[in-house]
Amino acid sequence: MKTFITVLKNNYLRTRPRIILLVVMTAIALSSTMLAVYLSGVPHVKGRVVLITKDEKTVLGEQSKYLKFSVAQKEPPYSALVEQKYDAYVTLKTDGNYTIKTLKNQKYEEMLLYLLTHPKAKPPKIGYERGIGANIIGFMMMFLMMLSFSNLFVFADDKEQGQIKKVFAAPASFWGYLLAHVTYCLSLLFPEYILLVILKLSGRNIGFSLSEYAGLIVVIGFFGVSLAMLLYVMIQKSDNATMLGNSIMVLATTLSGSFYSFSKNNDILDHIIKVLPQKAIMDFIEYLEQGKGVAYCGYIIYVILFSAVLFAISCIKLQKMYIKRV
Amino acid sequence: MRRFFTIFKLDFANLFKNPVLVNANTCFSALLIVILGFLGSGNYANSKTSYQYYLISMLVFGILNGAMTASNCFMERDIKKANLRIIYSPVGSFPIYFSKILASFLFDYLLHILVIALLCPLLHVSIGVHPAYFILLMAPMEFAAAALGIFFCCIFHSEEATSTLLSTTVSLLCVLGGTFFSLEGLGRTVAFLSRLSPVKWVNEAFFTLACDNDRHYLLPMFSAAILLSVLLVAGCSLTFKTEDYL
Repeated sequence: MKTFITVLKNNYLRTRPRIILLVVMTAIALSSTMLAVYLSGVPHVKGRVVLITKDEKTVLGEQSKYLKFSVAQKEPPYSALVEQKYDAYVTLKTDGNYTIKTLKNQKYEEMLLYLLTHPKAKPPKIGYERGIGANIIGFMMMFLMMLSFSNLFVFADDKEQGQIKKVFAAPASFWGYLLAHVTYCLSLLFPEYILLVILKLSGRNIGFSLSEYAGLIVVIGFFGVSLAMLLYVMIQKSDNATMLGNSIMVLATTLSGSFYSFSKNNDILDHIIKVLPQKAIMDFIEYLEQGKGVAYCGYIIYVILFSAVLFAISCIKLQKMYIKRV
Repeated sequence: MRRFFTIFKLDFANLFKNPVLVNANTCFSALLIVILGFLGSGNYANSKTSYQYYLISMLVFGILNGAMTASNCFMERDIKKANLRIIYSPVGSFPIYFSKILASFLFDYLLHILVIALLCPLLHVSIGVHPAYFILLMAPMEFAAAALGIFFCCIFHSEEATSTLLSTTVSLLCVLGGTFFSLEGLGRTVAFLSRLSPVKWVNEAFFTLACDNDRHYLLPMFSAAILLSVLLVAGCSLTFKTEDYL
């Protein structure tokens, strides 16, 4: 306990020279959350369509509210389609039919034609659309993990500069030391939580309850810290570990569809992605949103176990490196 | 000049000796392109479109991440000591940072060209009728990214702080610029925010070049990147302090 408090205090003191960095990182994470909240409030547009016509007056009388139209005299460049700036170019033929030029699949083209010819109709559903809570967590996840990664700098410094050897040789508790680092990292995620509390208090809909958010943030933070610690233990140079860790994080988080859910169905890849804890988190929050959180709690238990295993490996490795060999 | 070249040669060789850096610029970039392209291809009639989108946008992501290569090349613990010795030698301080900028620029540039040369035929993606323009436009951007990394090092005096800060900033700018997915469908405010991100304009330049063979953006972006590079190098020489090494 004494070690715990001393190390924790020491960690905060060592944060002082890096305070600007911490503030900037936190600000970026917070703005990402704000972006998620904002995006969830924006009505979903099914397609951005460019209507190509010589005569601007003959614009369609009635337009579906699920499509966003812009009118152009000349066809915009092909790159705008590739860049997804627009989804389709539509030309109205003299016989009243449409020619659609799009890069998207057949299903999408059919939906577009349906919306063009039936402006009042509701679009057919393509895939599952997630709610605001899943969006917020999805946008926060990558930044939360990056924060845990960089906030473990004290541990990384200690190890790289050899201080850790002295700590373990001293009459200090091994678990107290490690727990202090974990607690420190988790405590620096507090601003995110405060933002959610403020949003909740200001009457915004944020999807989940505050206690659910607290739990999720702790789980994500713990996962980030465990992974970071393992990499710092395994890799000699801390900057290499940071770089590798950030790469893994970006790749895994994007693959799990935290920002944007992918629609490709491929059995082999799906199975590979399912192993990722980030995917398990995303799946879990989607079920939680549908009110089926308890039935599918296996997902979140998997994440906790996964982090615990990573953490255990680093502990064993640390003990082997510094305690048993002394 | 010969002295500068000696330092440069060592810096350049050092980069290739770091497996994390080599992998981040080759395997990781290629994996990101292939996996994201594959995942996105379900939306398209022709999966080639998806690969093309991710090849170009991830390449821009990789170019910007070159800033991390530079900061690593400049301030890594082992290299810091060597830098200190150069300060005491008669070559002066300019080669310390400039050779690092040049070395990481060349390193990233070569590896990224390698990625393009491998992936384009493999995924049947074209980067324009004249690939030379595409490759040419990459050069000043890579240089500016490397200079940015060094400039941040000069300001923050720490490799770790720089790479954390830069990777977060770059990720955010890329998300805003539509690297991972397009933001155009998410309302007017977001579309406007997206336009504020320089990544958006870099993407625009590469996309128009690759898809339409349109060279409108080539010259302005090229000169803008060069101007930025010059400013950053000047910034380095203003903020570089030998005291940081003591």
